[in-house]
Parts: sequence; structure tokens; C-alpha cells
Amino acid sequence: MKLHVNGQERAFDGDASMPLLWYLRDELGLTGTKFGCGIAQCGACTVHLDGDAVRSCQTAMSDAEGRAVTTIEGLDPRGDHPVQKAWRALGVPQCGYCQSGQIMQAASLLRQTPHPTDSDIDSTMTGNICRCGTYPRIRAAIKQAAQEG
Amino acid sequence: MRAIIENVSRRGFLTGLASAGGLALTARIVPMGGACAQGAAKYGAEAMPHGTVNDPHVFISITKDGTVTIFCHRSEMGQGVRTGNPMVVADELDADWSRIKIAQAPGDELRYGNQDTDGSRSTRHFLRPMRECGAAARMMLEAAAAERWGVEVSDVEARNHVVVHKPSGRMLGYGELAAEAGAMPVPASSKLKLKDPSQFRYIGRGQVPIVDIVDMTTGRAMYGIDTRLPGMKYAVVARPPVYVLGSGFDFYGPSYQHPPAWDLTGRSGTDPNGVVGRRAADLAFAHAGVGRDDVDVLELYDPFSFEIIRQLEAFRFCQDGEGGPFVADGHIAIDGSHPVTTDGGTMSFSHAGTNPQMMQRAIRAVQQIRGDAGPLQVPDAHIALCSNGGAGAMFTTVALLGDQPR
Repeated sequence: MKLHVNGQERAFDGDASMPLLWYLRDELGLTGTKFGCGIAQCGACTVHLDGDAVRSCQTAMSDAEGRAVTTIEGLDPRGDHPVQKAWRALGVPQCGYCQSGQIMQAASLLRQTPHPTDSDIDSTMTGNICRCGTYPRIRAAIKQAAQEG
Repeated sequence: MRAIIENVSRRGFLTGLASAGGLALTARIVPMGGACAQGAAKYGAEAMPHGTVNDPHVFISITKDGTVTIFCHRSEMGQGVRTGNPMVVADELDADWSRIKIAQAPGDELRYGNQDTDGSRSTRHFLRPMRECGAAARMMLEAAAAERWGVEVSDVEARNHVVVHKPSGRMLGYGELAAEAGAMPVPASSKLKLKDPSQFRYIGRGQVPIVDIVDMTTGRAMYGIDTRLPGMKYAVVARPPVYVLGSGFDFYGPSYQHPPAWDLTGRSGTDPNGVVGRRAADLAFAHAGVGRDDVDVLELYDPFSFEIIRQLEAFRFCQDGEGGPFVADGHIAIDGSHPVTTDGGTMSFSHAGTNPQMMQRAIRAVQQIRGDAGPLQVPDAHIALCSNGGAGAMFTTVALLGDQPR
């Protein structure tokens, strides 16, 4: 099968039921996307499939066939997506482990809802868990990115 | 306790950096030998494991281009230690933060001292030794500049990555002085001139972002899980499937109101007054297509001890009224005919709320069927029943799990 990862065409001929996350991390070496729970309960593995946020641990390779996968490494060529810039401006991360997933989820939210309300943010980000508890800064950074994006 | 600051570049530590013409320092706090009574109680940093109290080696390396590398010997866990502790060194060193590189120290307590990253101790215990390490390096840079210029060391001062000769305004960068500074004797701890807190540029100013923030927002930050070794293989443990054969659910009103609201749904039938859980069990067995005799192990929710007896009757493992003698006769022991909840249930294991309790019963049932239950294992368990039978009679759920699909 063929798929696009961060704008590059890739061929894959392995087990079509393998999670996309394993392919990204273990075969392509794109380790910015994190393994958290493996059962779509934490959001650390969030990537974009044709622009929409999905949990790559529960996305089979067959689901990605012919589609465009974007990881944190490919969100912006210089790492300067408005969400990434806002994240740095407000010092969102602490340990950072969940933040690739948070950023990908937030970028997908802003693409669909350019000016989200607090409740839009809360309902969309609720599946992305942060053990450091950076939620207030995440919400503030999404608002800042919405203003500047 | 006293601080010994050694110039490790002359001892061959960090040879790669030292041979590049740099300065490498390590601070080592060791307990005072003769001055302390043997066996005297130790507190705080002194009481930390590894022979000595607080035995850190904090490395500073300055290369010719002026890059200052500071080793962080504690683990980053979101508390910011990779920024905080090196920042303390940089402040006393009067270094330009933009020219600092952080290097992660390997686990080596003989070299770096206690490396437990816990108890909010990394800064509390290392603030002083790190300040001393930075101050010593600053004074060695000043001494090297004074020697180069042939002036009194009291006339020179380190200021933000350069050493200035105050009378003439001449300046030398830290990189230009690194090699000579590395050869300077390390000042005795009693001679160290620490900054007055009012002179701090980084400590407590709240202006320095965490050093990994760009990497963390671009996916480049490295975590343990991201380690890649040559020829590394990936594996996942394949576990045998366990199938849900059938399940049933039974809802009643609370029994503890008067009169009891046994059946809010208004259903009637063989048990109009409700034997709580009987319908759930009947549904589950019909759904699964197996009989009571096929069940090898029962994982019953047991919020009260009578519940085991009551559920055995309700689920038709024995006749109404026979549950007591059935249990007393040893049927429910691990080697009995109907082993029940071999982890001891709520009395011996846990009672973490109703739904988690059902999860715990389901987890145990899966372990039993897989043969993974260790000392709790019922031999040859192929079919398990798990229940959540509330004594408050609100509802009952029953599930039958097995090692073969229905």
C-alpha cells in the first residue's frame, strides 16, 4: 500500500492491521509521536489523517492507505505553526511527553474551528491527558494561536 | 561537610572536552572526616544514599568558541531540573545563557553523587554546590585573565561571558580564556566569592524558558522510549484471546427503601419479588449456550460476606436456602467444585468502587482462563463467570468468559 507521511510518499507492505503508531515510530523513526496507553485513552499518539486528529495507536495501517499522515515533525517545516509558537510563548510544556499529541489535537481543532470557545476547547482537548497538569496553559495557548493564526 | 572542587580536566575526566582546550570542573561534597563524630546523625543532603551525603559532580566545560556546557545529573520529569540546576551554575559563572549547552549526565553516582530525582530535592540539595561550582569557574577565568594581562586579579571582573580589566576596559571572552583557566588552581571553598542574591541574573528572575521547549514542541525531545540502538528489535507479548460468551443485566430498585421497590420496570414472572441477579444469570447462560456445570471458576463481587451465598443461590448454582451449607462444605475453595474469587475479593484484595470492582473480577477471570493467575490459579479453568451483584439491589451484571469462542 501507499500513503503519504509528512508530504512524502511511502510504500508499506507489512501487516495491514499494524497500528500506524508503530510504523511511524519504529519503521520511520518519527519518535515525536508518543506511545502513551496504546488503547486510545490518553491522546499522546495523536497525528493527523487528512488533517483530522486521530489516535495513531488505534489507527490500522489499512486505515491510512492512500491518505496523508501528518506528525508533529511535519506540522510546519520550521516548527512555527501558530500552535507551536503559542506553546513556546506561554511555556506550555513541563515534561513534554504528551505535548506532541496536545499540539496536533489543538492544530486540528483550530483548522475546524478557527475561534473556539472555552467549551469547544475543553470538549475537543478532553481526550488528551497531561500528567503535569498543563491544561490552563494549553487552553490559553490555543486562544493565543487562534488570535495569531 | 566541605566542598572539594577539583579541576578534573587535569585528571583526565571528560577528555574529549578537555582536549579541545577546555575547562572542566566538578564539585564534590564529601563529609568531613575527622571533624564529624563517627556515626553522627546525618540530615538533609548529607543523609542521601550513596556513602556520602551530597556527592555531586557538576561539570562545566568551556570550549574555545565560548560555548559553556553544563551537565545535569538529575532526571527531567517536567519539574524543569534540566533548566534549573544548570541555570544556577550559569548565574554564578556569570555566563551568557544563550551560550549554554546542557548535557545530560549518565547514571554514575560515584562520579556525580546522589542521582535520586525525587522528594523535590534536586534544587534544594544542589543549589549550594552548583553555586560553588559556577563561582569557582568564574574565579579561575578571572585569574587566567589577570595572569595573561599581568595585572592584579582584584582589577578584573567576569561580566556576562567576558572578563573585563576594570582600569583599562580590556576584555577577554570566556572561550579565549578557557584553556588557561582550566590550568588554574581551584580556589579553596573558603575563598569562594559567591554572588549576593541581588546580583543574580537568572536565579529567581522567572525569565528563562525551559531549555527543551523548542524540542518539545517540534517532536525532537528525546525520552527513554525514543532510544534507538543498533539492531534493536521490537516485540509485543502475544496473549491468548479470551472470549465473552454471554452476559446479562438485571435492574431493580433499591431494597433499602420502604416498601422495597424490587422491580421498577414492573416486570413480573417467576420471581416477582426479585431474586436479584437471577434474571441476569439466566440471560447470560442462555446467551452463552453453556450450563452452570460448565463454569470452572466464579469471580463474584462480594461487598458483604452473605453476597457470595446469595449470588450462588440467585445464579442457580444451588437451591434457594442451600447456599450456606454449600459454602460451609468447602465447595468455593480454590480446590473445591465452585472456586470463588480466589484473590480474596473485597475482604482481602480491594473494594475500589462498584465498577472498578467488576473490572477487577473481569481481570481475574481473564487471568484464570489464560492460566496467568499464579498462586490464585484454578487448575484447568476454561470458563469463568464474573458478577457485579450489588447488595443494595440496584442492579446485577453477569458475564461468562471462555477460552473458546461461542
